[in-house]
Amino acid sequence: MTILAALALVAAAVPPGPLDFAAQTLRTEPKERRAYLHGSVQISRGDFVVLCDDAVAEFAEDKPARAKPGKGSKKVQKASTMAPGLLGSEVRHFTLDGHVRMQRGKRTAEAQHGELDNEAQTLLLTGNGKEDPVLRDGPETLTGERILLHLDSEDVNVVHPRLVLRRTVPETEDKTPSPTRVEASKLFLDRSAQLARFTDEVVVRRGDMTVRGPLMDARYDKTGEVTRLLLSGGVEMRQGDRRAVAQKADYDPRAKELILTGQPRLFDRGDTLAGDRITVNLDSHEVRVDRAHGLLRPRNPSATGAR
Amino acid sequence: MSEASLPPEGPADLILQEVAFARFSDGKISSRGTAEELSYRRSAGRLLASQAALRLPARPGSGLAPLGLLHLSAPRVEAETTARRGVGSHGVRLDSERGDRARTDRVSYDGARELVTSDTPLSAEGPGYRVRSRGFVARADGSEVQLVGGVSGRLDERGR
Repeated sequence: MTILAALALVAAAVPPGPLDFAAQTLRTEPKERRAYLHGSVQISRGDFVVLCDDAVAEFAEDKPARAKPGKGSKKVQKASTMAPGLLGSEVRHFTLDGHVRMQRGKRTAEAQHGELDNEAQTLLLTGNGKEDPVLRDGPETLTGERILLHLDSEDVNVVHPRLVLRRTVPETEDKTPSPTRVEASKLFLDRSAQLARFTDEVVVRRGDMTVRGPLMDARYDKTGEVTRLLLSGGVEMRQGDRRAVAQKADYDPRAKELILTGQPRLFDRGDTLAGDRITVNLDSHEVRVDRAHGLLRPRNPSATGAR
Repeated sequence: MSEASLPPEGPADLILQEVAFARFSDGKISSRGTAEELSYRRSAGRLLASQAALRLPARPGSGLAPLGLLHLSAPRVEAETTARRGVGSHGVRLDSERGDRARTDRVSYDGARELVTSDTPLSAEGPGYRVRSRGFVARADGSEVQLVGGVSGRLDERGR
């Protein structure tokens, strides 16, 4: 989950200013208002760098400068209608193709295709149908169908994100942490709220546990550590033969506990329990039900063995 | 095109010094120029000019139109009038009324193909941009310019 924090905390807004570029060739076509960059293309501004095989720059229309009031000479008027030309015009948009790579601070991304919108200050990364774009921060990896990076803030929108959170659980000496995998239809990283919001068909997997719900907020502290994964809107948890449902689920990575609240109910091989709160320890599989009531079916010894 | 591609020099038929010239097209002056010295070899249709400078208004509607009046200069210019080709060398400079500046060592012009090319490093800058390359190929009317051999540059949005 550190990637969420890194994305939201470490990265700074790309500063306005000159845009540098390099390529093997540059072909300008003023009538099309386009410039074609080919071969080892690099586009950068501040610490924001994009590399790719080919890029097409689309420029804004010429806007001749206005004549200054009182300067009515023919020469001045002629100069005032002079347009800035292609390279002197504002770049509206870059279309990036072929092995697109982005770097911004510690964050990197790869994709087959990119759309750098200079007006909206966004970079949209997409794949080729076979490979999705990838966003990385150290060992953390975020993939999705479409990754939209906001360059004027730290926000990120992801369509159908698939996230592997390797550092969700602090490592211990004797046990390698189980990575937590998150899938959803959408992900929005909101830096100001220190929040990563997954929406629509959210699935969280850790070890043999799967939790599903329509909405999940990942909250983290200023150091970048995830403090809570909060699922809401009707949640279902499965772990082996065990199933639980509730209105909300609260996952504490440090305690390695999943707390179900809001009419939680537990179903376990014929047992049905309800209570005010159900707590599941993810490592020990221990379940604790507060103010429990329900039905426990004794196992048939001949079917399950001696108990 | 390199300088070596032009025919070897013979004795000049005409040598002019401190030259000012104008080119007429459709009854109007389409360009003006000066040269420190201009020698002409009639049989080869060859011109050799030193310290040549040309003022060239961009054709309205062309790709060069936004640049306004163009000032081209080169310490040495060789031209073959029959073949409609020429080479400017020893430091070719282009300055525009708009404020563009381009510098390269050598530029070739092929009138038959309407192409301007250079295989020497180019540096150019103007309002809101600067760019470098190892050469270029361009249509004479500016409708297409291709910088080749490795290009780098900067688009300065604050300069607009």
